[in-house]
Amino acid sequence: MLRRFALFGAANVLLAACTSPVSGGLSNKDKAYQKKVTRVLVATSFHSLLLTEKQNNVFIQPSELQQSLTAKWSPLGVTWQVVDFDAVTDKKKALVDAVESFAPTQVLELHTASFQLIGGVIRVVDGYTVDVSLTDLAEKKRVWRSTIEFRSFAASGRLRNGPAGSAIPHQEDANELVDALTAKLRGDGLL
Amino acid sequence: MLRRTLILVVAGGMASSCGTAPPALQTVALRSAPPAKKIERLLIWLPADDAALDPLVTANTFKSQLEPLGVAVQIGRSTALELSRADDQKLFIAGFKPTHRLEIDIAGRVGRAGVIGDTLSVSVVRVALYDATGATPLRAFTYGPIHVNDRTLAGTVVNELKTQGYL
Repeated sequence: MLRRFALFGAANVLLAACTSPVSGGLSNKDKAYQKKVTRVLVATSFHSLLLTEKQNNVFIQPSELQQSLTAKWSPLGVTWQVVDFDAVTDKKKALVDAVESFAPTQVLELHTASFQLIGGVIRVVDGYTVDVSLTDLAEKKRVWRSTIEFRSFAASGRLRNGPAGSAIPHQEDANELVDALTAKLRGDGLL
Repeated sequence: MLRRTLILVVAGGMASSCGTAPPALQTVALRSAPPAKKIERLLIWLPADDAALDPLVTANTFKSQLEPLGVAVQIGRSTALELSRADDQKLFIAGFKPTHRLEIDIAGRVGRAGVIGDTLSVSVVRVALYDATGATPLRAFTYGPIHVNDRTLAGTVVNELKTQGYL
Protein backbone atom coordinates (compact mmCIF):
# COMPACT_ATOMS: atom_id res chain seq x y z
CA MET A 1 0.00 0.00 0.00
CA LEU A 2 2.82 2.39 1.00
CA ARG A 3 4.72 1.52 -2.17
CA ARG A 4 1.65 2.16 -4.30
CA PHE A 5 1.15 5.53 -2.56
CA ALA A 6 4.81 6.48 -3.13
CA LEU A 7 4.54 5.54 -6.82
CA PHE A 8 1.37 7.59 -7.18
CA GLY A 9 3.12 10.58 -5.55
CA ALA A 10 6.16 10.25 -7.79
CA ALA A 11 3.93 10.00 -10.86
CA ASN A 12 2.12 13.16 -9.79
CA VAL A 13 5.37 15.09 -9.38
CA LEU A 14 6.55 13.91 -12.81
CA LEU A 15 3.26 14.87 -14.38
CA ALA A 16 3.27 18.26 -12.61
CA ALA A 17 6.77 19.01 -13.80
CA CYS A 18 5.66 18.59 -17.42
CA THR A 19 2.62 20.88 -17.23
CA SER A 20 2.74 24.66 -17.32
CA PRO A 21 0.98 26.19 -14.28
CA VAL A 22 -0.71 28.88 -16.41
CA SER A 23 -1.78 28.44 -20.01
CA GLY A 24 -4.18 29.82 -22.58
CA GLY A 25 -7.15 27.84 -23.84
CA LEU A 26 -8.96 28.13 -27.15
CA SER A 27 -9.83 31.57 -28.46
CA ASN A 28 -12.51 33.07 -30.67
CA LYS A 29 -11.93 36.20 -32.74
CA ASP A 30 -14.34 38.25 -34.80
CA LYS A 31 -12.95 37.51 -38.28
CA ALA A 32 -13.74 40.99 -39.56
CA TYR A 33 -11.78 42.72 -36.80
CA GLN A 34 -8.46 44.13 -38.02
CA LYS A 35 -7.24 46.52 -35.29
CA LYS A 36 -4.30 45.80 -32.98
CA VAL A 37 -4.24 46.20 -29.23
CA THR A 38 -2.31 49.41 -28.58
CA ARG A 39 -4.16 51.31 -25.85
CA VAL A 40 -6.11 49.00 -23.61
CA LEU A 41 -7.94 49.21 -20.32
CA VAL A 42 -7.40 45.96 -18.40
CA ALA A 43 -10.39 45.36 -16.10
CA THR A 44 -9.91 42.59 -13.55
CA SER A 45 -12.54 40.81 -11.51
CA PHE A 46 -10.81 37.82 -9.96
CA HIS A 47 -12.62 37.65 -6.62
CA SER A 48 -15.76 35.60 -6.38
CA LEU A 49 -18.78 36.05 -4.17
CA LEU A 50 -18.78 32.27 -3.91
CA LEU A 51 -15.57 32.47 -1.87
CA THR A 52 -14.59 33.84 1.51
CA GLU A 53 -12.27 36.83 1.82
CA LYS A 54 -9.42 34.50 2.79
CA GLN A 55 -10.07 32.12 -0.12
CA ASN A 56 -9.97 35.13 -2.46
CA ASN A 57 -6.32 35.61 -1.44
CA VAL A 58 -5.41 33.00 -4.03
CA PHE A 59 -5.82 35.44 -6.92
CA ILE A 60 -3.29 37.79 -8.51
CA GLN A 61 -3.07 41.24 -6.92
CA PRO A 62 -3.47 44.35 -9.16
CA SER A 63 0.08 45.47 -8.25
CA GLU A 64 1.45 42.10 -9.43
CA LEU A 65 -0.43 42.37 -12.72
CA GLN A 66 0.81 45.94 -13.20
CA GLN A 67 4.41 44.81 -12.61
CA SER A 68 4.05 42.08 -15.22
CA LEU A 69 2.40 44.39 -17.76
CA THR A 70 5.16 46.97 -17.26
CA ALA A 71 7.80 44.34 -17.92
CA LYS A 72 6.10 42.59 -20.83
CA TRP A 73 3.67 44.92 -22.61
CA SER A 74 5.33 48.31 -22.30
CA PRO A 75 8.31 47.15 -24.47
CA LEU A 76 5.78 46.03 -27.10
CA GLY A 77 4.42 49.57 -27.33
CA VAL A 78 1.13 48.71 -25.66
CA THR A 79 -0.23 51.45 -23.41
CA TRP A 80 -2.41 50.05 -20.66
CA GLN A 81 -4.16 50.87 -17.43
CA VAL A 82 -5.57 48.44 -14.88
CA VAL A 83 -8.93 48.94 -13.21
CA ASP A 84 -9.55 46.60 -10.28
CA PHE A 85 -13.26 45.73 -10.13
CA ASP A 86 -12.69 43.81 -6.90
CA ALA A 87 -11.90 47.08 -5.13
CA VAL A 88 -15.03 48.99 -6.16
CA THR A 89 -18.71 48.66 -5.34
CA ASP A 90 -20.06 50.12 -8.59
CA LYS A 91 -18.29 48.34 -11.47
CA LYS A 92 -20.23 50.16 -14.15
CA LYS A 93 -19.24 53.58 -12.80
CA ALA A 94 -15.61 52.48 -12.34
CA LEU A 95 -15.51 51.37 -15.97
CA VAL A 96 -17.14 54.56 -17.28
CA ASP A 97 -14.75 56.72 -15.21
CA ALA A 98 -11.68 54.77 -16.35
CA VAL A 99 -12.73 54.90 -20.02
CA GLU A 100 -13.34 58.64 -19.74
CA SER A 101 -9.99 59.40 -18.12
CA PHE A 102 -7.75 56.92 -20.01
CA ALA A 103 -9.54 56.92 -23.40
CA PRO A 104 -8.59 53.35 -24.41
CA THR A 105 -9.31 51.79 -27.80
CA GLN A 106 -10.27 48.47 -26.23
CA VAL A 107 -11.19 46.99 -22.88
CA LEU A 108 -9.72 43.62 -21.88
CA GLU A 109 -11.86 42.06 -19.17
CA LEU A 110 -10.60 39.21 -17.02
CA HIS A 111 -12.96 37.46 -14.62
CA THR A 112 -12.81 34.16 -12.79
CA ALA A 113 -15.27 31.71 -14.30
CA SER A 114 -14.69 28.62 -12.16
CA PHE A 115 -12.40 27.37 -9.45
CA GLN A 116 -11.47 24.17 -7.71
CA LEU A 117 -11.50 23.85 -3.93
CA ILE A 118 -9.29 21.46 -1.99
CA GLY A 119 -8.91 20.65 1.66
CA GLY A 120 -11.11 19.49 4.50
CA VAL A 121 -11.27 21.78 7.53
CA ILE A 122 -9.37 24.56 5.78
CA ARG A 123 -10.67 24.71 2.25
CA VAL A 124 -8.66 26.73 -0.25
CA VAL A 125 -8.83 27.49 -3.94
CA ASP A 126 -6.28 25.46 -5.85
CA GLY A 127 -6.74 25.87 -9.61
CA TYR A 128 -9.04 28.28 -11.42
CA THR A 129 -10.05 29.42 -14.89
CA VAL A 130 -10.29 33.02 -16.03
CA ASP A 131 -12.56 34.16 -18.84
CA VAL A 132 -10.91 36.85 -20.99
CA SER A 133 -12.71 39.07 -23.45
CA LEU A 134 -11.70 42.03 -25.58
CA THR A 135 -14.27 44.69 -26.43
CA ASP A 136 -13.70 47.44 -29.00
CA LEU A 137 -15.14 50.67 -27.67
CA ALA A 138 -15.63 52.38 -31.04
CA GLU A 139 -17.38 49.34 -32.54
CA LYS A 140 -19.22 48.67 -29.24
CA LYS A 141 -18.81 44.93 -29.53
CA ARG A 142 -16.82 42.04 -28.12
CA VAL A 143 -14.23 41.07 -30.72
CA TRP A 144 -12.17 38.36 -29.02
CA ARG A 145 -12.56 35.86 -26.23
CA SER A 146 -10.42 33.21 -24.61
CA THR A 147 -9.74 31.45 -21.32
CA ILE A 148 -6.64 31.20 -19.18
CA GLU A 149 -6.24 28.18 -16.93
CA PHE A 150 -4.36 28.32 -13.63
CA ARG A 151 -3.69 24.64 -13.07
CA SER A 152 -4.00 22.98 -9.68
CA PHE A 153 -1.03 21.92 -7.57
CA ALA A 154 -1.58 18.31 -8.53
CA ALA A 155 -1.42 19.21 -12.22
CA SER A 156 1.31 21.83 -12.17
CA GLY A 157 3.24 21.66 -8.88
CA ARG A 158 2.45 25.31 -8.06
CA LEU A 159 1.27 26.23 -4.56
CA ARG A 160 -1.02 29.26 -4.37
CA ASN A 161 -1.73 29.30 -0.64
CA GLY A 162 0.47 29.63 2.42
CA PRO A 163 0.07 27.74 5.72
CA ALA A 164 -3.60 27.50 6.81
CA GLY A 165 -4.70 29.18 3.59
CA SER A 166 -2.72 32.37 4.22
CA ALA A 167 -1.85 34.75 1.39
CA ILE A 168 1.40 34.38 -0.54
CA PRO A 169 2.72 36.40 -3.53
CA HIS A 170 1.47 35.44 -6.99
CA GLN A 171 3.98 37.27 -9.17
CA GLU A 172 4.81 34.11 -11.13
CA ASP A 173 1.12 33.60 -11.89
CA ALA A 174 0.87 37.24 -13.01
CA ASN A 175 3.93 36.93 -15.27
CA GLU A 176 2.64 33.73 -16.82
CA LEU A 177 -0.85 35.21 -17.24
CA VAL A 178 0.60 38.09 -19.27
CA ASP A 179 2.78 35.63 -21.25
CA ALA A 180 -0.27 33.49 -22.02
CA LEU A 181 -2.32 36.54 -23.01
CA THR A 182 0.50 37.84 -25.22
CA ALA A 183 0.80 34.48 -26.97
CA LYS A 184 -2.95 34.17 -27.54
CA LEU A 185 -3.37 37.77 -28.77
CA ARG A 186 -0.32 37.45 -31.05
CA GLY A 187 -1.62 34.16 -32.41
CA ASP A 188 -4.89 35.86 -33.32
CA GLY A 189 -3.15 38.85 -34.92
CA LEU A 190 -4.15 41.32 -32.23
CA LEU A 191 -0.65 42.17 -30.97
CA MET B 1 -25.70 45.37 -1.48
CA LEU B 2 -28.75 43.18 -0.83
CA ARG B 3 -27.96 41.12 -3.92
CA ARG B 4 -24.37 40.71 -2.76
CA THR B 5 -25.54 39.57 0.68
CA LEU B 6 -28.04 37.10 -0.79
CA ILE B 7 -25.44 35.58 -3.09
CA LEU B 8 -23.04 35.36 -0.16
CA VAL B 9 -25.62 33.39 1.81
CA VAL B 10 -26.02 30.95 -1.07
CA ALA B 11 -22.27 30.84 -1.53
CA GLY B 12 -21.72 30.22 2.16
CA GLY B 13 -23.83 27.10 1.91
CA MET B 14 -21.93 26.06 -1.18
CA ALA B 15 -18.51 26.60 0.30
CA SER B 16 -19.28 24.97 3.60
CA SER B 17 -21.03 21.86 2.41
CA CYS B 18 -20.11 21.80 -1.28
CA GLY B 19 -23.60 21.16 -2.57
CA THR B 20 -25.46 19.67 0.37
CA ALA B 21 -27.26 22.94 1.13
CA PRO B 22 -30.64 23.09 -0.61
CA PRO B 23 -30.78 25.42 -3.61
CA ALA B 24 -32.44 28.78 -3.10
CA LEU B 25 -33.98 31.28 -5.51
CA GLN B 26 -33.12 34.93 -4.95
CA THR B 27 -34.72 37.74 -6.89
CA VAL B 28 -32.28 40.32 -8.24
CA ALA B 29 -33.54 43.85 -7.74
CA LEU B 30 -33.77 45.71 -11.05
CA ARG B 31 -34.04 49.46 -11.61
CA SER B 32 -37.31 49.05 -13.47
CA ALA B 33 -39.70 46.14 -13.45
CA PRO B 34 -42.45 46.78 -16.02
CA PRO B 35 -45.90 45.17 -15.64
CA ALA B 36 -45.90 41.49 -16.58
CA LYS B 37 -47.17 40.37 -20.01
CA LYS B 38 -48.14 36.72 -20.46
CA ILE B 39 -45.47 34.49 -21.99
CA GLU B 40 -46.80 32.69 -25.08
CA ARG B 41 -43.64 31.66 -26.89
CA LEU B 42 -40.43 31.32 -24.90
CA LEU B 43 -36.89 31.02 -26.22
CA ILE B 44 -34.79 29.42 -23.47
CA TRP B 45 -31.06 30.10 -23.81
CA LEU B 46 -28.83 27.64 -21.98
CA PRO B 47 -25.19 28.06 -20.94
CA ALA B 48 -22.37 26.41 -22.88
CA ASP B 49 -20.78 24.77 -19.85
CA ASP B 50 -21.96 21.12 -19.82
CA ALA B 51 -20.00 20.48 -16.63
CA ALA B 52 -22.13 23.03 -14.79
CA LEU B 53 -25.62 22.24 -16.12
CA ASP B 54 -26.79 19.31 -18.24
CA PRO B 55 -28.49 20.91 -21.26
CA LEU B 56 -30.77 17.94 -22.03
CA VAL B 57 -32.05 17.58 -18.49
CA THR B 58 -32.58 21.33 -18.17
CA ALA B 59 -34.34 21.64 -21.53
CA ASN B 60 -36.64 18.68 -20.82
CA THR B 61 -37.60 19.85 -17.34
CA PHE B 62 -38.45 23.34 -18.61
CA LYS B 63 -40.49 21.90 -21.49
CA SER B 64 -42.40 19.53 -19.21
CA GLN B 65 -43.28 22.44 -16.91
CA LEU B 66 -44.20 25.00 -19.57
CA GLU B 67 -45.92 23.06 -22.37
CA PRO B 68 -48.90 22.01 -20.19
CA LEU B 69 -49.41 25.74 -19.52
CA GLY B 70 -49.75 26.38 -23.27
CA VAL B 71 -46.33 27.97 -23.67
CA ALA B 72 -44.42 27.05 -26.84
CA VAL B 73 -40.75 26.49 -26.03
CA GLN B 74 -37.61 26.54 -28.13
CA ILE B 75 -34.15 25.85 -26.78
CA GLY B 76 -30.96 27.60 -27.86
CA ARG B 77 -27.47 27.50 -26.40
CA SER B 78 -24.49 29.74 -25.94
CA THR B 79 -21.32 28.75 -27.73
CA ALA B 80 -18.24 28.15 -25.62
CA LEU B 81 -16.50 31.43 -26.46
CA GLU B 82 -19.55 33.46 -27.35
CA LEU B 83 -18.83 36.87 -28.87
CA SER B 84 -22.30 38.21 -29.57
CA ARG B 85 -25.32 36.47 -28.10
CA ALA B 86 -27.67 38.82 -29.93
CA ASP B 87 -26.21 37.70 -33.26
CA ASP B 88 -26.46 34.03 -32.27
CA GLN B 89 -30.12 34.48 -31.33
CA LYS B 90 -31.17 36.29 -34.53
CA LEU B 91 -32.09 33.11 -36.43
CA PHE B 92 -34.08 31.75 -33.48
CA ILE B 93 -35.95 35.03 -33.09
CA ALA B 94 -36.70 35.30 -36.81
CA GLY B 95 -37.92 31.70 -37.07
CA PHE B 96 -39.60 31.02 -33.73
CA LYS B 97 -40.83 34.57 -33.03
CA PRO B 98 -40.74 34.31 -29.24
CA THR B 99 -42.69 36.70 -27.05
CA HIS B 100 -39.96 36.36 -24.41
CA ARG B 101 -36.42 35.02 -23.84
CA LEU B 102 -35.22 33.29 -20.71
CA GLU B 103 -31.43 33.31 -20.48
CA ILE B 104 -29.57 31.06 -18.06
CA ASP B 105 -25.91 31.73 -17.30
CA ILE B 106 -23.46 30.22 -14.86
CA ALA B 107 -22.69 32.85 -12.20
CA GLY B 108 -20.01 30.65 -10.64
CA ARG B 109 -18.91 27.04 -10.51
CA VAL B 110 -17.01 25.37 -7.71
CA GLY B 111 -15.30 22.04 -8.21
CA ARG B 112 -14.19 19.94 -5.27
CA ALA B 113 -10.92 18.15 -5.97
CA GLY B 114 -10.78 14.43 -5.44
CA VAL B 115 -7.93 11.96 -5.91
CA ILE B 116 -8.68 11.85 -9.61
CA GLY B 117 -9.50 15.36 -10.77
CA ASP B 118 -12.75 17.22 -10.30
CA THR B 119 -15.14 14.85 -8.51
CA LEU B 120 -17.97 17.11 -7.45
CA SER B 121 -19.15 20.32 -8.98
CA VAL B 122 -21.86 22.73 -7.90
CA SER B 123 -22.96 25.98 -9.51
CA VAL B 124 -25.02 29.07 -8.97
CA VAL B 125 -26.97 30.14 -12.05
CA ARG B 126 -28.26 33.55 -13.07
CA VAL B 127 -31.65 33.50 -14.81
CA ALA B 128 -32.96 36.55 -16.65
CA LEU B 129 -36.25 37.09 -18.48
CA TYR B 130 -36.31 39.48 -21.43
CA ASP B 131 -38.92 40.43 -23.98
CA ALA B 132 -38.35 39.09 -27.51
CA THR B 133 -35.44 41.31 -28.48
CA GLY B 134 -34.80 43.55 -25.46
CA ALA B 135 -31.40 44.01 -23.86
CA THR B 136 -32.73 44.98 -20.42
CA PRO B 137 -34.01 42.16 -18.21
CA LEU B 138 -37.64 42.25 -17.11
CA ARG B 139 -36.96 39.96 -14.16
CA ALA B 140 -33.77 38.32 -12.89
CA PHE B 141 -32.94 35.66 -10.32
CA THR B 142 -30.03 33.68 -8.99
CA TYR B 143 -30.49 30.03 -8.06
CA GLY B 144 -28.20 27.53 -6.43
CA PRO B 145 -26.21 25.69 -5.37
CA ILE B 146 -27.17 23.02 -7.91
CA HIS B 147 -25.52 19.96 -9.38
CA VAL B 148 -25.01 19.34 -13.08
CA ASN B 149 -28.13 17.18 -13.46
CA ASP B 150 -30.38 19.41 -11.37
CA ARG B 151 -34.13 19.01 -11.96
CA THR B 152 -35.38 21.69 -9.57
CA LEU B 153 -34.42 24.84 -11.47
CA ALA B 154 -37.26 24.69 -14.02
CA GLY B 155 -40.05 24.14 -11.49
CA THR B 156 -38.74 26.89 -9.23
CA VAL B 157 -38.40 29.44 -12.03
CA VAL B 158 -41.80 28.53 -13.52
CA ASN B 159 -43.48 28.94 -10.11
CA GLU B 160 -41.81 32.32 -9.67
CA LEU B 161 -42.93 33.46 -13.13
CA LYS B 162 -46.49 32.33 -12.29
CA THR B 163 -46.38 34.34 -9.07
CA GLN B 164 -45.18 37.39 -10.94
CA GLY B 165 -47.97 37.16 -13.52
CA TYR B 166 -46.00 35.96 -16.56
CA LEU B 167 -47.73 32.55 -16.74
